[in-house]
Amino acid sequence: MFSHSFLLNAALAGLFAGISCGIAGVFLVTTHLSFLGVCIAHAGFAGAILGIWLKIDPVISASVFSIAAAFAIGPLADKGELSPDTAAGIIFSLTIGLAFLFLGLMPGSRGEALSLFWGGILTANSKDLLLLSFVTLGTLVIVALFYKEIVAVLCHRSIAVAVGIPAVFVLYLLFVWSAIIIAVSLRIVGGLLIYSLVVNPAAAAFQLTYRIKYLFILSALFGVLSTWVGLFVSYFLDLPAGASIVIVSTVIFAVALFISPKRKTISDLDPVREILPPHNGDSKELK
Amino acid sequence: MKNVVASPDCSQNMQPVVLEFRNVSFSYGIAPVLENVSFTIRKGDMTCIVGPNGGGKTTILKLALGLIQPQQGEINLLGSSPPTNVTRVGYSPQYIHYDPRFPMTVIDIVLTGRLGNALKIGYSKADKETAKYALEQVGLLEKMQVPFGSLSGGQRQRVLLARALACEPELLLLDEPTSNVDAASEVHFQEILERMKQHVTLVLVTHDLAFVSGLTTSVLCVNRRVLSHSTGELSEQVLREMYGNDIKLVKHDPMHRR
Repeated sequence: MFSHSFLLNAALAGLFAGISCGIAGVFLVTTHLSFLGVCIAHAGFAGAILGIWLKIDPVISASVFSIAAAFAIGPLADKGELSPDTAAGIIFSLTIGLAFLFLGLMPGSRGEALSLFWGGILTANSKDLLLLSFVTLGTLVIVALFYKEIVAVLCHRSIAVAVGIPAVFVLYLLFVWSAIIIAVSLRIVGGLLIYSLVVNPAAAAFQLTYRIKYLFILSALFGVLSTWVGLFVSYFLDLPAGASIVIVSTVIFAVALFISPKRKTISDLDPVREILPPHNGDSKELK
Repeated sequence: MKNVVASPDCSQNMQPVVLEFRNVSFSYGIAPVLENVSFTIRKGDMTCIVGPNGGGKTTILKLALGLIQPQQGEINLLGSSPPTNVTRVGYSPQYIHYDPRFPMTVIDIVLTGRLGNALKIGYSKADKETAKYALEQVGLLEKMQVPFGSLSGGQRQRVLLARALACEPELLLLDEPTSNVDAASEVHFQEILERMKQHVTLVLVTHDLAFVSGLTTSVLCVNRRVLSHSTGELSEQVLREMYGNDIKLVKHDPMHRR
C-alpha cells in the first residue's frame, strides 16, 4: 500500500502526530487535566476555522486559540475557584460555539473548513510533514533535556518547587507545547477527533505501567499504533481515516484497561483515596 | 498541672539561626490563617509544630519554603528570605497528597530529592548513590524498584523521608510524618529521627502529641497565632487554649522525658 506517495506521507504524518500527541497526553493525563486537552483541541479547531475564514494560516490561528485556552483554564483549575469540570464545560461550549459561528459567517466555499472536522491524513502534504516533524523533534528534545524536572513537576508540584524548580513555569510550558502539538496535528486527525489521540494512548499506557519512563514510551507507541492501524483499516475497509484512528485508539485503551494490573491492586490498596481524595491533609485518616 | 516552660529563646543557645519568622501574617482570601507569628529555630533544634486542624501548621512550612509569600512580616531561611536557600532544605509534604497511581518507583521518588543539586541532564551516579544511601537510612533499600503506590502507609512515609534526606539538607521540614502510620512503624520512625537529629535541624508538623514529648527540644503551638514557643513540655493550659475544649494530656513514654 506504500507504493502511493500519499500513503507514505500519511504514514509519516501518523508517525509524527502519534508520537507527539501521545507524549502531550502524558502531560495532561498525569496532571489529571485531560479535560484541558479537550478544551485545547476544540479551541484550536475554532481557531483554525477562523484562520481559514480570515485567510490566515490555520496552524497559526489554531495555535493562538489553543494556547489561549490553556492559559484560560490552567489558572481556573489551579486556584480551585471553579471546579475543573465547570471550567472545562464553559470553555468547551464556548469554543464549539465559536467554531460554528465562524463556520456560519464564512462566505463562499466551506470545503476546507468542513474537512477540518474529520481531518485529512490522506492529504498530508510536505508542509504538514515538515511542521509535524519539527514539532515531534521539539517534543523529544524537551522531554530528553528536562526529563527529571518534568517528571518531578508532574508528580508533585510543591516538592518540585521546594527543590528549586520553577514548577508553574514548567507546567505552563508543557501546556503551551501541548497546545502547539494539538494545533499542528489538527489538520491530520480532525478537530473533533484529535482529543482522543491525545488522551487515549496516555490513558492506555497509564493502565499498564508503574514506571514513568515506560509511560512516555508506551504512550508514544500507542499513538503511532493508533494512527497506523487506523490508516490501514480505513484504507482496506474504505472508512474515514480520522474516525478509524480514533476508534483504534479507543480499542487500545479498552484492551489496556482489561489487562491492567492496576485496576485490581491499587483500588484495593487505598479505598479511601479512591472515593474521596482529601483536600485538607490536616485531617488524620483512620486506616 | 504545672506549667514547665523554659525561657522561649534560650540565651545560652548561640547556635546560628536556621529559620526565623518575624511578625508574619498570612491569609487565604479573607480568612486569616496566621497572625503576627514570630519564632526562631536554631541549628540543631528539633521543633515540633502542633495545633488543631486548619490552625496554620502546614502554612508555616509553605511560607518557610517560599511556596507562598506572607502578606506581612519577614521570614529568614538560612540567612535570606525564601525561596533563595530552598535547595538546602529537605521538605516532605503529607504523603496523602501523593497520587498512589502515579507511576513512580521508590527510587524514582527518592531521586527527585536530588533535583536541586543536579543541574545536568539526568541524574549522575553520585545522585543515585546518595538516593540509595538515603533509602538505606530509612531501611527500605530493598524496595527501591517497587512501585511507590504498592507500599503501606508507613513505608510511603519513610520513602518520603528518604526523599527529603536525599537533598542532603541542613534543615528538614516534615509535614505529618507519622499520619497513617501504625504504632510499630511509628517507633521505627522515631528511631530514624533520633539518629538524624545529630546531623540536621528538624522541624516537624504533627498532631501526635505523644510524639512531641519524647524527642523534641522545642514546641511551637500554633492556632492562627503562636500560643507558646517552649523548650519544655506541653502544658494542659496551652493545649486547652489551643484546642478550645477540655483535653487531657496523657504521658505515653515517661522514659523519654528529659
